[in-house]
Amino acid sequence: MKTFRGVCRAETIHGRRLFPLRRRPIHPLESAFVLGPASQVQGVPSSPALRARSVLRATWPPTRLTRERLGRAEKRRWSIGRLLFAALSALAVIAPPSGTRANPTDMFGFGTRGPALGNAMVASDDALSSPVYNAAGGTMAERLELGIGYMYAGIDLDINEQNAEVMDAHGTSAGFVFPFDLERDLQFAFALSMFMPDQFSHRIYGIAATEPQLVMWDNRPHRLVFNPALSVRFAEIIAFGVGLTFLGGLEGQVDFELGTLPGRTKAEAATETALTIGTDSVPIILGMLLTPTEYLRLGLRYSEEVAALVALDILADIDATGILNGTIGINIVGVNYFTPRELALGGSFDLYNWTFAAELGWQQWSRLSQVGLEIKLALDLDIDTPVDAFDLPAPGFRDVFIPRAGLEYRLPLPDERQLAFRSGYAFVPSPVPDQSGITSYGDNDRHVITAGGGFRFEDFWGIPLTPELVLQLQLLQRREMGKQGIQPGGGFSTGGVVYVAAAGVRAEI
Amino acid sequence: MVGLISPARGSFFGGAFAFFCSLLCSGNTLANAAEVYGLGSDGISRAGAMTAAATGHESVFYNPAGVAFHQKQELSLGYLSDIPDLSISTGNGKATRDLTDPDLLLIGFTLPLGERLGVGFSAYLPVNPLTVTLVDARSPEDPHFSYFNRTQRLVIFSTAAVRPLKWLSLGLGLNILSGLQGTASSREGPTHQLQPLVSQELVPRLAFNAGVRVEPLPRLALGATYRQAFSVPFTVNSSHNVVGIPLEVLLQAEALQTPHELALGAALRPVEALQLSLDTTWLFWSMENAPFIKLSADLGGGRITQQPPRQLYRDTFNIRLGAVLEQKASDSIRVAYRLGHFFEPSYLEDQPGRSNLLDGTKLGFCGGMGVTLQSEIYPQPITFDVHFQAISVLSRTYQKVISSVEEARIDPNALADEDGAVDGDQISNPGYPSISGSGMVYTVGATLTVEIEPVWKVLQ
Repeated sequence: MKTFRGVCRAETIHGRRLFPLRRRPIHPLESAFVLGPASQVQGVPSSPALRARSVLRATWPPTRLTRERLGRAEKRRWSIGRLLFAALSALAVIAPPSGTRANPTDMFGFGTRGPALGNAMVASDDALSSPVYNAAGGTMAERLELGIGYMYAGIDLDINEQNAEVMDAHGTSAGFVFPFDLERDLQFAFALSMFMPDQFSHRIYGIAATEPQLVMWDNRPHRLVFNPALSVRFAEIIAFGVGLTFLGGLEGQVDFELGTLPGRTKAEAATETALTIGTDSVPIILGMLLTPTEYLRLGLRYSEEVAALVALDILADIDATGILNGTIGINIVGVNYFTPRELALGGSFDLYNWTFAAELGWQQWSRLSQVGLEIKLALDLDIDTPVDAFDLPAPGFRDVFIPRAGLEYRLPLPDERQLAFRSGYAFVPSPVPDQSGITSYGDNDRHVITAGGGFRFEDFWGIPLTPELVLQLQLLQRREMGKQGIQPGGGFSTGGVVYVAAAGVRAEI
Repeated sequence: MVGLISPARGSFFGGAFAFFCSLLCSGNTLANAAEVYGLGSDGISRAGAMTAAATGHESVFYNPAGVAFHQKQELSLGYLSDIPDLSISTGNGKATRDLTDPDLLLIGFTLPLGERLGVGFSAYLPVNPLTVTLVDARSPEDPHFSYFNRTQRLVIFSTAAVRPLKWLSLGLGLNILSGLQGTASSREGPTHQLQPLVSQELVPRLAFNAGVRVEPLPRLALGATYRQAFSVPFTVNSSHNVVGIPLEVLLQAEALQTPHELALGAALRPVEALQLSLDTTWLFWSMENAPFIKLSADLGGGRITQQPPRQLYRDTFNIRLGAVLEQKASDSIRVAYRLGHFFEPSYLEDQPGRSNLLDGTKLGFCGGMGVTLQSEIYPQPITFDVHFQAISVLSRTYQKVISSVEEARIDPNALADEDGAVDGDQISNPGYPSISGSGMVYTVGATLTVEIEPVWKVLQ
């Protein structure tokens, strides 16, 4: 009989508690037919091999995510925040959505106005993109605003001057803001921003840590963004906003049997895998917008750190006589789509037909405890099979400060028409440290240069429409990772250019 | 025939890990909570007899055309909890089976766009903990009630409806889901340690709901709804070569499976305060495959595979009856009393072989009430509905039949001797020699609906 020694399942990853999977006790039904005396219980096999398999099933059956495992013990621990989060979660379309940073809106911006201004938008009066840039900004809308656009980012990066074959990012952005005033000095707004990639909405992704890779570009630009936000403004001076963002994880158990039966083979599998929405830390976004004068805005944004957790317990029962007999347990844990805590402070100032905007963002990458996936093994085989799982070292990412600046000029035209020209710049330092050991994480400092514009007119049934266009160039400073000795991956360099183009239209109703 | 595996360092585990990763996203999560229990307290307490009666946010599921008849802008929030009491019996004992269903949070809204257009939205979110999807694929031999393991995923319906004539509306809706697909592999890194290479993608999937609603007489409504079948074909093909030993894994499954459905309904108001409704739905289950994973593994030259059981479903239908009696308690309070009943034969064929999927004829007994308030503080109507539902699953027994080994070789569902080295038929299937299941499933819930002045009226 094989004795399964068990898998040490991590209780937490990156300081967050995992989905509460627990091995359940022997099921009464299984106990009856497995442990009862064969001579008295009908249906119990007398074959020692089958009895052994039955015992194994009983000790680790294709376990169910029962109410206990689904967290029954926590069932009553609902807070208002969690209920609000749950309610808004249902609005998230389809898939585990994404965080605020380290996603398409972080890498390129959202919509067609922010990306043209170097994403210096924390103090912007653009209500339509407020769920991404500053949740308090929704109250700056005077009417219902709708917007839709399409973005394409050609990612032309290299590793060792060879094409890194990073997937281009492209998808549709959409949003709306709905303002409603209870009274003149108390204004509310609900806003929603989303970005939907063309290829897929979310991806669990991990490659060998020793392989040179562009850790900020290989997966992060490719996922759904779904940010709702609610804002309130007092006396037309100060506004507060709260928003949520969504990030999903993958957790579960897999069980399978491979073996032989008389005259045939056996290959059965069962799995119970949950796509979860993490709630241990509510992925909240807070914003404040201060408008002491009509021409000056000061903004503050805070977004909480989130991460998608991947945790899988796996049991294999292999009974191939003469080839391999035994039980294998594997535990895979990891963090996907880590989104750091961020604080951004900035201002914007209108002078005649000009608007100047600048901000400074801080991202706390140092709390990232793991990049990629990690495997742990527990074995019980009849053969000597020394296998080492790869232990991921701490990535050692560092916090970064990101300066952003933008400039807009508005040219009034007859018939209530208006042309707008925009430009911006941002410098995005890399949080990835120099690679001198076993890992080969590549990343670069970036210069983000942007330009864009829009044309506002009211010829379309009296509805103000504004088609907009943005172009963005992201230049990655070449970086050499000169590893010492014969560390895996060897020394490598990374660099390249990212070209971004987006077009869209917004309407005020 | 099983191929030979060399117990070389790392080689087995490279393949095994690939195998595991291939499996991680496979599975089957059938249908959704709206189909099993209903949507919203009003609909559930009338046993789902709503094809011709639904006009609020619940019509996005029952009949998308109903939204165009609903000239109210409403926001609904609800909560539903189920209490299962299902048991499985074999010759070896009896056990109660938990359903693993989390509670459900309901969010819905309707938005009229003028007098002849409307849009609606409704979503069920599994909570405790928050879950998007719980992929639940069991082995064929694991006894379980598959019918009720269908509510563990986020359900999103959205609808637009138009009313070209005063008595006619047409609606089209989307049932929004997601699937999983991708590749998984592993290999030894430069340190001879095992490292993963995983790319599992969530791909959006859509299914259509379409409906028509007719009001030929002022107090009579007729409706028809078609709900498109849906499944996510899932295939993972992984190739690995670790220390010179190739390993290939092929995994195929159909996830998020629901059959084509056609529902017909009528709603009649014999008097102003009373509405009676009748529905029948045909569920084309026979067109669907059984919810098991098919896998095959090539362990270094020989392939191990086993077909999962097939043809386990049959078409079925249900009949639903509902009634609502409305009473005006005062100028600002209205009360509605609701009752419902449904009958649905099992959609499963008898299973004398390997599989132990359980299901029986279902009888549903439903009731509830709602209170609508209008006050000076908030002049628009606020409605609070509660419901109770008891679903009785009548007992059904499968007698297992032992087939010959030759038969089992060609019939994936045949039950046959598992150990040729021991005399007699050695069967480890927990459903042998017979298995039966029955029980009750209860649900309770509440829905709060707030009416908001329509935006288009405000703009006017």
